[in-house]
This record gives sequence, structure tokens and C-alpha cells, in this order.
Amino acid sequence: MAAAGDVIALDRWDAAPPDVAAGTRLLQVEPRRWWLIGACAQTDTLTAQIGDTGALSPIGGGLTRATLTGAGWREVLTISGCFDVEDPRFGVGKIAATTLHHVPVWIAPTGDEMCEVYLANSYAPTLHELWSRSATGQGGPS
Amino acid sequence: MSGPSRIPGGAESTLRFRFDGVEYRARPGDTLAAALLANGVGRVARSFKYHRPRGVMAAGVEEPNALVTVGVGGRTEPNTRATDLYVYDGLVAVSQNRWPSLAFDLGAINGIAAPFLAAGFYYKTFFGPASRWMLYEKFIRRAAGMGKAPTAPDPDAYEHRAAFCDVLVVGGGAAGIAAARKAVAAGERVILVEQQRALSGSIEGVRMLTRTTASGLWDHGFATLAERLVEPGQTPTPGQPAQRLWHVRATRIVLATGAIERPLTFAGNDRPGVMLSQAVRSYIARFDVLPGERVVIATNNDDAYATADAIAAAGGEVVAILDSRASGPATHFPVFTDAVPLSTSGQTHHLASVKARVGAGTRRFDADLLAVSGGFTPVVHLHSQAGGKLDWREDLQAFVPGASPQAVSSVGAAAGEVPAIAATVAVLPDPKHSFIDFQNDVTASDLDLAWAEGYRSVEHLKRYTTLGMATDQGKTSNMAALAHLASVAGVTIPQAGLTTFRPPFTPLTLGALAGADGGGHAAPARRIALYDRHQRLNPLWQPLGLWHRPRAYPIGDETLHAAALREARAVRTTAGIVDVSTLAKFAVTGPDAAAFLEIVCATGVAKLAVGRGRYTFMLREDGMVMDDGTVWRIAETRYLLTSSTGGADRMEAHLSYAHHVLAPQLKVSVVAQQEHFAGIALAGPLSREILAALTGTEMPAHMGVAQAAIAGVPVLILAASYSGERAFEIYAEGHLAGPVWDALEVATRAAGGYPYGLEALEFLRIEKGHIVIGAEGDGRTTPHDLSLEKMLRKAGGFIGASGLTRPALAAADRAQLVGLTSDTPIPEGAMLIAHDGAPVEGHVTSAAGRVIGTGAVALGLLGGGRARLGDVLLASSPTRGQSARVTVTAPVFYDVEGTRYRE
Repeated sequence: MAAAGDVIALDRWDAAPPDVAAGTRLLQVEPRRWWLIGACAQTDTLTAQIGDTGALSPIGGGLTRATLTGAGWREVLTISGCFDVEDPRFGVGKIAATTLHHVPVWIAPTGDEMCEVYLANSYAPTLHELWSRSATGQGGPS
Repeated sequence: MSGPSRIPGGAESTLRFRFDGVEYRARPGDTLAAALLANGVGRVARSFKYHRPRGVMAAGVEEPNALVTVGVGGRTEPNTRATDLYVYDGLVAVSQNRWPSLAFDLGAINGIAAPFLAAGFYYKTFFGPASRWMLYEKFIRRAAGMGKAPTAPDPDAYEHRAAFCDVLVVGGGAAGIAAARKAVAAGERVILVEQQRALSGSIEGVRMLTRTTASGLWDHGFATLAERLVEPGQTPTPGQPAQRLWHVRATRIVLATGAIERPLTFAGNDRPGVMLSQAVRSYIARFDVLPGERVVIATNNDDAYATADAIAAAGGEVVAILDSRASGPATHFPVFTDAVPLSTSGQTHHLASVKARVGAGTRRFDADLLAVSGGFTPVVHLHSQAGGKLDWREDLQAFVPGASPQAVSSVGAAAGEVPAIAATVAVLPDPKHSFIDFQNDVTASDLDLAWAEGYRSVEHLKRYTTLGMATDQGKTSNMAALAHLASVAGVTIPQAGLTTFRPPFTPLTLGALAGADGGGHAAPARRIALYDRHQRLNPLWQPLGLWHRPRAYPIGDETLHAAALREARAVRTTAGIVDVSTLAKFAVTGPDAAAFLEIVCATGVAKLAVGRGRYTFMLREDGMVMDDGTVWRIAETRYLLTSSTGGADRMEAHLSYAHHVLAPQLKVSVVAQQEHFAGIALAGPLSREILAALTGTEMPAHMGVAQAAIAGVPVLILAASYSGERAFEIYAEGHLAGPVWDALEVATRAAGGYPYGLEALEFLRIEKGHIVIGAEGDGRTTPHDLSLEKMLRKAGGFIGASGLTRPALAAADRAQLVGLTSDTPIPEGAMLIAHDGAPVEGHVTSAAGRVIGTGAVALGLLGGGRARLGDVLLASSPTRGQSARVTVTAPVFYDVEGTRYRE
């Protein structure tokens, strides 16, 4: 788990998301909202590019990014969850806004054996402990 | 030799277990019931009310009699069905509801007192003088319940898991496996659930959950499954939970839950040695246990004849088959038609004889086991829980699944594929000893009594007699009871009615229901961004919703009050810093940001200059104050809106509603930044100098905005005061805020100040007369009630503006915000009354001592309060045993002119 830091919320009210530089990830989290991950260096460029068609708001200061690696990450995320994380169609490029153990989270698969879970910093100790217990018992992901 | 025994040969009994202190051996795969029978133990329990000796009646979860307490210490599990418990090495079980022992139970005297313990006796104890009830109560409370809950904490972990599938198949018998195979062949995702350890056949391509019970079927294909990873009382593998509750969402559900065999009603039908016919076959086939050597079989259907074959094949003797019908299938065993059991006599662990009516006469058979079959009841519980209708099948004398509003279907025995039976009405010569509900000791005469006393509805009858209650929920008794009730009422069974099937199907442990939400995890704790910084100062932590925030930072032996007073006085005289990170914050951005804020905020926003801020509040649509905070114009089209900590989630939902429902046409972005920014408030007469020195920047005037850096970290500075002193809120990105706190703490201490917590924050804001949402803003107060009406935007157009026009909200006698002063402490929450016994006119919402000086101040809501300044009232709290004489004042006690925070 680590501070996310580099997450910016992009809202556009009448246009598609802009092109972003290589290395920046774009995840659609709501019908008119995207998350730009790794785009902090492009903030000025993007602000100029979108003009009055949208707005950028940094949110990464309050987010923790948990990276789960190992074949069992999907199984671990079924614990105290309510989303079909085991659906094979839920893969790279998708993101799910859901809850785990009552905690609001965003789950973004980044590979067959890896995913990122974004959550508010304040909940990080709670989920970390839940996952630690699960991983210990099931030989699950790290 | 008589009674139950192990059939010679077979696997070695390698497991050791103890029952009532005696060590026995069992084979791997034995249930406790099978192992006890294999060891010749037929009496395993005492009944609930009359303490009658009871044995094993069934072989599955429907068992009403053989309940035991398993395990030791915190793993103790009472009321465990011996038929649903696999023996493990070291298992410890004890019988229940007996004293001093199962063999010699003083409670059995209740059998003599049976005339006084008939149906509804408990309710009848309510009649007569109350003093009598005080006498009865002791005995009734002591007698109530079966096993005893452990007092030691449960050491095990429990887990909740989510799963999704196209098809959920409940039941791993032949019908369930066939349904699962068909679904797999169609390429569907399948979950197959089975209560036992193993299925009756093999299948691939499904997620199989054995030792798992479908405990509930809810709406929209949602099912809860309880999985036992270890047996009751058993120690789990390290790191593994003891039980897991699955939350399954299925597109469709197939119920292959089988049927439950029904007992017959006759005198002594509850003795050890009376067993369901199919259970006898189960013990022979699954466990190599012969439940009796000399067996009488009583039946009203063909199925029990197979039991005769099984008994004979296992070496037992079939003494007689009593068939209530005029004829049965051909067999070489002695069959008596038009024959029913009348009574039994017994020994400790088995029967001695069976007396039967055969035709017009009676006959006695020497037998140690009576296998009974009164027909079969399809297990429709889950179907009914899912809202399905039930249809009556005359040939089965049973209800079967009818139409379902959900994608739920039943197959096999659960759908009614069970042997037909003869519908007979038994004449009971001894109804007082003919048990209908074994677990609750409800006899046929109890039902007759309830009927005679006027209980006509089956639901009333259930509650009056306790029929169908307790851990088995009447699985073996309901149909017999309905048949008896219908007979007494002279109606058909469907006309007699049916009680409601409710989850869970079998009892669940509280641990399984709680899952990971135990101990410190009963709710997720939210940790503030600067937690480590505070923890170094060893604060008193205060839960606030899910958050934990420092309440005060005592030094040495300081009490909470002393520490908070020192901290508050520092703010009044020098400076203090407080963590305000949990405040809600929203970035409101876009060309229509001001227009959006004027919908949400009841105060003016549009004329706010860039770099300036303003106090604001928001209303619900009914005109009540919902939340308050500040709004800041950071740039031409960018605003920052803050609101209360406790209302943060509510405000986020409210803003989303306003944005997406009320004003979707506006070009505005609303983004929650509650945790993006950590916040620190620096307050006190020296705060401006401290901050200017730290940033190298001149600080803005009150309600101004500045951008700067502290300790190299970019910060947003908002000149706002909650304490009544000159103050600044300093915001930095959450994960960068630590060094900012460090720098502010060092500088504040150097100036003679301290960090302060929520207690001092309360002292300061009460003295200044600021409202807080949850106390003064309690969801029932309008802006006028809180003296905020002058700030309302006259042009209207905000949420709640229409609601405020209701005449009742302008009534002069509404509860209005007032100040209260006293020479003695004012109890918070106290009611405001003219004198003892007078009507309540209001209440104290917040109270504190004066920060500097003596006496107490408080805020309160008082009927027509604004016109009552100078009144003297009593603030009385009977629950705390405290009261204070208070004087009604304006709700500001400090710096009324507001000069200090502008300095």
C-alpha cells in the first residue's frame, strides 16, 4: 500500500476525454468522470486543452493505492465484498467502484495476476489488516 | 444383545471422543449420532419441558431431539444436532437440559407436574397478583433454553465472501447433481451446495461447496450460504476462519433440497428407540450402524418396506411391519395391515416393546427399535423464503412448490417426487403422551387445549403452544400438527393454514453472521492523515462516527478537563493548533460553479470575490438546516466548499443529487476532496505572526485566501475562525501534511501555545456561540430558529427556499437558539423547565465552563427563546441527577462585537 498521489479527477460535461501522454492511464469511474493516473506533470497542458469543457481536480492526496499481486487476488477481493470480481470479463482497463468490508474502493485490474485497489487513506489500516489475515490463511496474494 | 450397535467388519474406529465424560471411539466419517449409536448409546438428551429421555430420531439436520453442547471454552457451541456433527479426534460433547446427570435428572419431576405445564402455562402465570409472577419468574427463567452459551470470548475468525453464478444448485443428491450437470453442459457458471461432506455422485466444472447450508433465500436471486470449515468446537487450521458466510447472487436457483420424513403420533413416540424409517437406512448404509436388533416398522407408505430389507441385510430381525393401509407391497416380512402403533415401553437406550392396534384388536411386539414413516414433506423452505407459493398434494398429504416470483425451481423430492401415503386420521387413546413437536414437548393434548381455549389461527396456535419454534423450526412436526389441527377443526389441511418459513433454514452462529465485523472491526475505523503525529503526543482519542480524533493532549497527570482548559486558554492568550482534516471539502469548478453553489447554499455566493470566503449553510428541501461550512472562491471559476465532518457523506450525496438531478444542465464539476487535503487550524492572537514567519508571507485578512509553502510543502491558507480568535485553516495534500504539522507545532509551542483537541474546540466554539450540526442543527431547526435568517439570500432559488415559506416555520413559539449562563455546571442534554414538574420548554444542546473566568455557559433550544432573554429556568437532567439554575441570554458569550478574529 502506498500513497496514490498522482490521481486527478477529470470531469467533462460535453466532450470525450482528451488524449493523454504515454504513461498516463485513463480510467472512467463515472459516466462523465475519468481518473488520470500519472498525469501530474501534464496538468497545465491538460487544463489548457480542455478549457471550459471540463475541469481537473486533484484527489490523489487522499487516496491510497494498494497493489495486489498473485493469482489469488480475485479470491481475496471476494472477502467482505459484493462485486463479481471473479468475472473473467473484469480485466485490464476496467474499474469497479464498490465496497470491501464496508469501505468504498475502486478496483482496477492491471494484469492477470495483479490489480490495484484505490481507497481513501483513512481506511487503509482497516483493509490492510483484513487482507493480511486473508492472505495468511489462504496463501493468497501479497 | 439389544439396542443400537456397529455392524461387524468395516473400517477401524480410530477417532476418540468424549460424551458426558466417557471416552468412546468412532470411525472417520461418523456423525456424533452414528458414533453414539455404534457404541450402544441410545439415550443422548433430555427434552425441553418434561425432561423426558430422548434418543436419535433422524439422520440429518431435521433432528429435533439429539441436541448436545460441543467444544470447550470459547469454542463451546450449544444446541448442536448430533446428526449434523462429524466426529473429530478429541471431540468433547455433553448432554443438555439435565441435572445432575443425563441418567438421573431431577428436572424429570416436571413430568409429574405436566398438568401444570400444558400449552400456554407461561402466559397464564401473568394472571393474578404481580407478586406471584415475581415468584414464577425465577423458575421460568432458570428453566428456559436448552444449552448454555459460553462466557469466554470466541477465539475463532469468521469470514464473509461474495460469489456470483448463473445457476445455484442447492442439494448434492441425485437430482441436484443432474441439474448441475445440465447447467455445466450449457456453459453456465454453477455453484453446487451440499450440507454433507460429500456429494452422492461426481461432477466437474462447478464450484462445489460441501458442508455448506443454504440458510436463506432473499430477493433478486440473493442467497446466503453458511459453510463450516471445521466442525463445531473444533480448532481451525491457523489463519483459516472457522465458518464462512457466502453472499451469492445467482441468475437462477435450482432447489434439490429433498424431503423430510414425518414421524407418527402415538403415546411414547418420543422414546429412545423410535426412529424415522429412512434414518434407520441411513445409519446402516452410511455408517454401518444397526440402530436396533429387533425392529418393528410402522408406516403409511411403501417406502418403509425398503427399510425392512436393509435391516434384514444388516443382520437385524424385522419383527413386524405395521401398515396403516389395507394393503402394501408384497414382502416376505410379517405384515399387519390396518395397523398402527399405540404406545411403547422402553429401557435406557432402546425400546422394550411396541403395542399396536391391529384391526379391531391390540397386539404387543417385543422390539428394541420402532422405525416409523408417516410420509414425506418436501423441503419447501427456501422456495417459500423466496416468495414462492405452495400447492397442496392430496396424494402426498403435503405442500409442494408452486409458482415462484423469482427464477427459482425445485427438482426431485423437493418438487414432490416422493412416495404417496394413505391419509388417515389416527385416534389417539393417550394424547397427553403423544408428541407432535418433540423439541418443544408439545403433545396432541396441548393442541387440543389451545383449540379449546379459542386459538383458531395456526399462527396464534404456534405462538401459544410454541409448536414449530426453536432450533428445528418444526421440520418434523409441522405437518403432523397441521393434520391434527385440521382434524380437530373439521377442515382440510390447506384450510387449516401454514406458518411462515423464515431464514435461517438451520441455526447460524453469531460469528458467521458477524464475519470480520468483530472486536475492533465491528465497523471500519477511519484514521486521520496526521495520526502518527498525534500518537507521538499520546492524546486521548475520541471516536467520532468512524473517525478517531484527539480529544485532548494531557501533560503528565492532567485530567481531560484540565488539559482541555489549558489548551483552550492557550488559544485565547497565545496560539493553538488543531487537526481539522476530517472536515468535508468539495472542489466546485466550471463556468457554472457559482450558479450551482447558489442552488446548494442558502447564502449569497455569486458576488464573492476571488480570494475571499464566506460562512454558508445548506438546507434540506423542507427548509431545515442540513449542514454548514464555508465557501471560498479560489479562482475565477473554482470554489472550495467545506462542511461538517459528520455530514460529509450526506453532503456528497446531496451535492450529487443537486448536480445530476436538479441542475444537470450546469457546466460544473463537483469533486469530493475530504481526504485529499489534510487540514490544520492555527488559532490565537499570535497566529498571524506565527504563520507569517513560517511562510514568509503576509497573512490575508479575515475570510481571505493565500497560497504559500510551509516546510517546503504547498499549502492553501484560509483565514477563518471557529474559536473567536484570529485564526487560519491551513490545507496541504494529505500524504504531505506531516512536515506542515511539525513546523506549526514547533512554532506554536515556541510562542507559548499548544496543540488542542476536540474538547478545547468545544469550549471555544460554545463560548463564541457557533452552532454545530448534530447539536443545535439537529435537523429540526430552520435558519430563523438558529438566528441565521439575515444571511438567507433574498432572491431565493436555493434548495429549501420553498420549504421555508410554510407558515408553521414562522411560528413564534418554535424552539429557538438561546444562550444560557449559570454559576454552576450546566448539564448537557438537560431539559429546560420553569421548575420541577413543569412542562418541558426546551433543552440544552451544548454546555461548557468559561475558558477564562468562572461560571458556565451553554447553548440551548428554547420555545420562543429569542423573546425570553433574561428568563430564569431550571436545566434539569433527571437521568444524570444534575440540575442548574440558568439565565436565558443571547447565544454569544465572548467578543460579541467580533473584533478579536478580525485583528
